[in-house]
This record gives sequence, C-alpha cells and structure tokens, in this order.
Amino acid sequence: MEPVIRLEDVHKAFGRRRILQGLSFAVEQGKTYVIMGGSGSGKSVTLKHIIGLLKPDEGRVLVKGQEVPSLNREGLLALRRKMGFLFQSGALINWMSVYDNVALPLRENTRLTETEIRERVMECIRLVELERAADQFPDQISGGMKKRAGLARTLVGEPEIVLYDEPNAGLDPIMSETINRLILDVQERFKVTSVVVTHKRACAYTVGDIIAIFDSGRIVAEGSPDEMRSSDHPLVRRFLGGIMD
Amino acid sequence: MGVLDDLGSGIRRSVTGAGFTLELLFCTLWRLPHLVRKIRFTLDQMFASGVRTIPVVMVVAVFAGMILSLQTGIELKRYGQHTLIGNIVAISMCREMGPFITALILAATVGSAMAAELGTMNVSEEVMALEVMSIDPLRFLVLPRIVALSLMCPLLTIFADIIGILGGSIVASVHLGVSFSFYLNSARESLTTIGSGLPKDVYVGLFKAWVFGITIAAVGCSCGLRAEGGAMGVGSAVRQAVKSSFLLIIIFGYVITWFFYSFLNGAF
Ligand SMILES: Nc1ncnc2c1ncn2[C@@H]1O[C@H](COP(=O)(O)OP(=O)(O)OP(=O)(O)O)[C@@H](O)[C@H]1O
Ligand SMILES: [Mg+2]
Repeated sequence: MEPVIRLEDVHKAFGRRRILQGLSFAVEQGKTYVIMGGSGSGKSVTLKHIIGLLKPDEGRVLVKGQEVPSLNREGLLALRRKMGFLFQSGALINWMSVYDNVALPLRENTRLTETEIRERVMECIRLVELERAADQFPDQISGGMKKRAGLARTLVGEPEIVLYDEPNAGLDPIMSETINRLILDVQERFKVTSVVVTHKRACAYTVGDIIAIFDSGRIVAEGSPDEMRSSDHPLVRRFLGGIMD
Repeated sequence: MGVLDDLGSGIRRSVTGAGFTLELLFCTLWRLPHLVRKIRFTLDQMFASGVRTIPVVMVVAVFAGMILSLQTGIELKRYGQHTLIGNIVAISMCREMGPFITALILAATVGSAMAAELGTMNVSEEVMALEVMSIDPLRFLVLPRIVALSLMCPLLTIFADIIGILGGSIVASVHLGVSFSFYLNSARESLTTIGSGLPKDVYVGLFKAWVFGITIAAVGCSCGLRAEGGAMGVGSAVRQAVKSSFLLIIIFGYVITWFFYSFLNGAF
C-alpha cells in the first residue's frame, strides 16, 4: 500500500545554510514515526515541509499521494483540514482564552452549534487535564500548559494525520507519561498516522512504531523499537542508549 | 559602493513591500463576503481603534482649530476681514485638517498597534498556526481590521471637524471679537453654499478619511505580516508601518485634493 507520508530526497537551504540534504522517509497508514536528532538540526523544518508551510528546494513531499509543494491554495486547505500540527511553542493565539483557542478550528471550519462545540472542546481539554485553565489566557499559563493546550487544539478537529513537534518537552515526568499515553490512545482509537519529533527516549519507545535518527539533514538510521534497542550504530546508541529517562 | 548597495536594496525592499501591501489589500477585498461571520471581530476592532482614540482626537482637534483660528485671525484682522474667520476655519477643517490629523493620530496609535500585534503573531508562529488550521489569516486578521478602520476614520473625522470648528470659535470670540452665533452661521454658510446637497468640502474630506483609514490598516497589517526575527523584527515592522502610513497619507491627501478641486474643475 502507498505510504500516507513520503519524502523523497528533499533538500532545503536557508541562505547558505543547508538544513535538509537528501532527506527521505515514508510513514505507513496508521503508524507512528518518531524522529530524534540534535537541536537545531532541522526536525521542525521537516515537519513544516510535510504540512506545506515550507517548500523544498529539491525533492518530493507526498501526503496521501498528493504533491504538497505544488498544491494550490484550495488543495492545501483541503489537505490541512485532515491534518493536525502541534507546534513546538504551542503557538496559541495570544488574545484568546485556552477554551477559545481549542474551539477555534471548529468555529472556523465547521457548522457545529456552540453546544456541540462546547462538548468536543471540553472533552479535549479534559484529555490534556487543563479544565482548571480553560478560561485563562496564554500569557497566564506555563510553557507546559501551553503545550497541552496546543495539543488539545491539534486533536479537536479529529485529524487523520498528526504531526507532533516535541509533544512532551518541558513537562514533568508524570504529565509527560500522560501525553505519551494520549498520543498512543489517539493513534489506536482513530487509526491516525503520525510523525513525532521528540528528545525523550521514553516517548520514542512508548509511541513509536518506527524510530528514526536524524542527522546532517537526513535520516541516518531507522527501525522498530526492538531493532533500535539492539543497534550498535553510534548515533543510535547516543540518542537511545543508556538509562531510560 | 556600500551606500549605493544599501540604497538599491532599500528601494527594492520598499517596492516589494508596496507590492505586498497592494496584493494584501486586493486579496482582502476579495474576501469581503466573509465579513458577515466576522462582525463581532470587526466591532471589537472598531471599538479598539475608534472609541479609544476619541480623547486624543478631541484634544488635538480643539487645538488645531484654535491655532488655525488664531493664526489666520490675526492676519485677517490687519485687513479688517476677521469676520470671515468662521468660513475659513470650517473649510480648512473639513477639507484638510480634520481628515489629516485624524489619520496621523490613527496611524501613530492604531496602525502601529496593528503592526505590532500581527508582527508578534507572525514571529511567534501564530500566523502559521492559523494556516495549519486552514484558517485564512487575511480573512481572520486583516479583513476585520481594514473594514473597522475604513469606517472609524471617517466617523472620527466628522467628530474632529466639529470639535475643531468649535475650538476655532473660542479663539474667535475671545481674541477676535466675533460672536459665537455669527461664527457658526458663517461656518455653516461656507459649507452649504458651494455644493448642492452634501457639501463638497465635507464629502471630499470624508472620502479622504476613508482612503486614509484603509491605507493605515493595510500598511499596518502588511508590515506586521512581513515581520520576522523576534522582538527586533516587530520593532522595525512598527517603525516601517508608521513611516509608510505618514508618507502615504501626505501623498494621497495631495492627490485627492488635486483631483477634486483642480482636475474635476477643469483647472488642470
Ligand atoms: N524560516 C527560517 N528561516 C531561516 N532559517 C530557519 C528557518 N526555520 C528554521 N531555520 C534554521 O534551520 C535550522 C533548523 O531549525 P529547526 O527548527 O528545524 O531545528 P530543530 O531540529 O527543530 O531543533 P530543536 O530540537 O531545537 O527544535 C535552525 O538552525 C534554524 O535557524
Ligand atoms: Mg524544533
């Protein structure tokens, strides 16, 4: 079967700085693909290519068989309605409360009534355990709470494909585990296809079907969690070896 | 060479900037039918941009009217023509000063705030987040702002005109010995005798204000949406927005005056 997400030999440079250099990988329907790699190496840039926020200099980016860089505006909007993207920063709209932020995609893109919206939004807010902060504004809550609010907003539209940029950075170990379970739960319940960028081994092992190591602009190693555990590739050992955190 | 290079890239930047602003304006107008779903945001914006600037506009307009009245009044009195002061203040307030001071105040307060708000949203990935959610930033952020300012700028101008004329009347009665009722009468006369129906000085002034309002909002949004690189980037976006709006207000003000009073009258 054709993979849902496929990157082929993607190159991207910002000015003279080459960030992606021959990046290729594919994610099968319903699978979770975990990317680990050094800070500033281009993982967020990779995710932005998949959702069409950035265009590659060379190479192909395919999502559900469509060439993302050459889609027109309508095509891109239609595709994005099926996708969710969790920004590394959360990227909440700063003049709207947490509740309104989570409700935003439903209010703008669907014809649901305010009561139906309220039900869906509160369910998502409960999943990330933010009931107490629903009426607060982004600048009144912590970084980890913004991350969770961003996650709720990502999931509220019930996307088929979800891209998570460091879903549990800046969270305490317990909340981190909750989020890992949430990602796993979403994947099992809705059969979503996802790409997860993370620095946490626990997250990679919990949610990943495939774990990949990203270095110097491409994937240098990938495999199932068991394969990666027993791999002796030096970078794999650096990122995944040692004690679990 | 360095200076020439700088100049070259400066010009290139302002040309692409102008192109971006125009494109933004047209694309936003194209989305006008979506306004029905954005009425609340638009009203919020109108309140934020209009109602909050009323005090400043009031103070500036009073003094502008008083200065106008005093300056011209002193000169007129030397020729014994100071009874004309009501006409002169009324015409220059409605035709030039009212729209002009309103627009400068709006550019400095509301236009810069728009650039700062949208700039901050842009550098903190919020605009990207909107796009990812299939929410069109032009429809969501720019449309309400442009519509709000295109309505508020003329409204505030009417207000500034009235306050300015009243301000002029104080000076007229205190320093020039022109009574309040005489002053008001001559002001009303000068505004009604020229045109039929809605006086030309008033509607040209309001047309100007409408153009200024659209310009200020489009420039503010455009600079904000092009901001990049953190707080510094937002700062320079705001600076750029205020600079460009001031320039465009002066230029458009001249062009509109020329068009209505010179070109249409066949004088040119
Ligand atoms: N729009 C852009 N313009 C210019 N340079 C950019 C842009 N976006 C990213 N970069 C650069 O690309 C490089 C990779 O950025 P990216 O955000 O993908 O890193 P990352 O792998 O996600 O790192 P981290 O783990 O710290 O989040 C960085 O050095 C960054 O400066
Ligand atoms: Mg990143």
